[in-house]
Amino acid sequence: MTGSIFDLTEEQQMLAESVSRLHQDVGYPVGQQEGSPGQDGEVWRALSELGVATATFPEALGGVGLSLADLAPALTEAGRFATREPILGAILGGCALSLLAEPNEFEIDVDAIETGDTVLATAIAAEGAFELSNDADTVLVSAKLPSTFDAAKEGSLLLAIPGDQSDLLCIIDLAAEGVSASPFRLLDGRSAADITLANVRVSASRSATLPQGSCEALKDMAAVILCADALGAYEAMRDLTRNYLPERKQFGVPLATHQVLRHSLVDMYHDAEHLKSLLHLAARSCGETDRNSRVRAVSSMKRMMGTRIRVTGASAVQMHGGIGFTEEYAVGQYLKRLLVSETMFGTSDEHAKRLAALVAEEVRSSSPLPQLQSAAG
Amino acid sequence: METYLSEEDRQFRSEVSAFLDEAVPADLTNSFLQMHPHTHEQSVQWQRILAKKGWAAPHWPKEFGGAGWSPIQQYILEVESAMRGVPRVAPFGIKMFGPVLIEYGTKEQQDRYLPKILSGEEFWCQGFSEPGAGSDLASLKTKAERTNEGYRINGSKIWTTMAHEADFMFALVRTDPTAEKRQAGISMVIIEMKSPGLEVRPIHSIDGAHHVNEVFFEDVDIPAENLIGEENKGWGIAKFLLTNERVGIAQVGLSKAQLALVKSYAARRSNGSGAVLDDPIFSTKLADLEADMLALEVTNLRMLGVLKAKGDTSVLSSFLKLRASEIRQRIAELAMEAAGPDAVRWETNMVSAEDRYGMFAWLNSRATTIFGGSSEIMKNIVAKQVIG
Repeated sequence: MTGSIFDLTEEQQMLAESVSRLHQDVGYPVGQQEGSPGQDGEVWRALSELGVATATFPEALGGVGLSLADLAPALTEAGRFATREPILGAILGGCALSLLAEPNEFEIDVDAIETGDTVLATAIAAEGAFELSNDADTVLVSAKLPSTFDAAKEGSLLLAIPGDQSDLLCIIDLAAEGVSASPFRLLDGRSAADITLANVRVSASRSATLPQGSCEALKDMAAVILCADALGAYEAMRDLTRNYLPERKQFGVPLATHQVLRHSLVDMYHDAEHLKSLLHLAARSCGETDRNSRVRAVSSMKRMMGTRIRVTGASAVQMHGGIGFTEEYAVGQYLKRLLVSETMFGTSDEHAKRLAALVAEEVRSSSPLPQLQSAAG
Repeated sequence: METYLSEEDRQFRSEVSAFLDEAVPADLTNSFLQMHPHTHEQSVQWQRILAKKGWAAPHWPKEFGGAGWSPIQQYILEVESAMRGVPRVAPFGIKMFGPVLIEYGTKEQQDRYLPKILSGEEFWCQGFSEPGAGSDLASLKTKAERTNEGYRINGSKIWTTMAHEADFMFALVRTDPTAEKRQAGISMVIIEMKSPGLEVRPIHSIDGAHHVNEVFFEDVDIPAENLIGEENKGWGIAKFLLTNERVGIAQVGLSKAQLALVKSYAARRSNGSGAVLDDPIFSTKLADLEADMLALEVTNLRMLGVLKAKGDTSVLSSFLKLRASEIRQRIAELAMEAAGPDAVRWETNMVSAEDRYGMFAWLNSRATTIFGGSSEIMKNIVAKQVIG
């Protein structure tokens, strides 16, 4: 059984299995209760030991140098356990650093991230400002960064800011002067913070320019990271439902005997496969240079999160009946995770708009059957 | 699809493209671009061009006149052809029955029928459904009784596409009405459409066209050599036939080409205040469809990978059939909506071909979620696999 581009490589398989085992061993998935794993950083240190924290960091900086396509199966496993570990910040950070022309000239304490001692958050400013100081040794950065994943009162923040000529990447200590951070939990229990930067001084060695368009590309990569995880959450909901229907009896027969419920369950299997396909394409497209293919794949994937996946995800709650509506049962936790993934880094509606704009542009710039045009030209 | 093709596949695609650029007659492409449905004659014209090149049956082994291509190669030809606006080649002989003959036919049957299926000299239709046996195919009643020379057939078939153009039918008939399991009393036979006692009556479908028929058999005699495989083993052959359809089941090429056509129509077509393409409600529906179409394309490629590795594709192919048929309907729906009130100006001389296209295709595509296993049957199949 070899030869398909869709088969997992041995490396992908091993990493995914390790991530899965680690989460299982410490008791994930968890509810909202206190004392859940991750609060003392122990799980994150263990994940970091597996290489997760620096998985996407460029090799020039001592990272593992994996692509999102390589990493997606491991992220999906983490999603199956509804992890709250700061995976997104680290993985997206590595993606940002990989866009640098000279990563080894960028001053960042990779060792502390690699061991899990420093938690890295990564943000893409929707709008922000940066200017060189008079002596050109420092950059002054101001930005408002609502709901920044994995950010807290301390730790490091990698920040990408769009600019007129080029984009900027810089690293900021969250305890530095001019930084204010208000941490909170997102709907699904993951950590985030609202961050405000007011004229924060960043030394030149801790900042670098990125080609224009990098912020958009990074946002797409963030969407891929979220959706890889969401696929796992969705599959976990599906499997819970799969196991519940034969077990639960009403009117003297298992729910699994009712065709309407069987078909609803099949819809979940169906949507999981199509989401998996779009994720596969989107993850690959993030490693390639063509913007249009990336936009098409990522926006299609994000749009599907807000349409089919939301609907059939909610149907998992419906199929469970009352128990599905409770805070303690996992299916609801997973549903919240889907909603976070659907909403962040471009809502499903925003992605529909971007996809439609791309399609309209393509329709107007080529003949109805492009193959004919290329034949003529 | 680009990102999933190996270097070898890309090379192959260039060869296919080069041939098609030369070989596709302009009038076939123009019919498509002007949004006229292709005729049977155009389909035959295209099949003969392919046959001359040796590409009419990409999936048949070479020793039977096929091209012996891999699933991905077949898919490349499908997409590249569709994107040049060529007609679909009738599937009944080449896609469905040819592989059956190759797997189960006698040497005589193979020599007699395969070459003319390839060349487009003889056409076939499929005699499966009956008035009382639709989704529940195994309840079919058309009976074949032994005679000295072969079998005598009585009964009827329905929804028989192309029966009025076909020379032969491959049919499922009941040879043992006493079999304990209904499936065990069924055989597959060849019936000549010109046989005495056989009558074809047209059924006009809701799209106003004549694609399907009812076929009646009154003491129709066929020779014994028209039995395919063993007597009472027809159900297994029918299952083989259905699993063989998987490579093209999603019809990705056709849907891609139709979607491209509809988008360009929406860019030309005005809704009174601008191009339909720029209407925010239309463009949202279009974006949703693009997302589903892209997912279908990749899922189809995944299935081709599983096929290549000789793995189990039954779940994926059920999903593909299900979603692909819905996508066909939604492409038609967008064209219908883009035409606005002109969509219901139905008489052909009162409406342009492009404004009529969507309504025709929408009505026509109602059948796609019914034939070849209805959507509900597809879901039953998957449900049985995943939950028992």
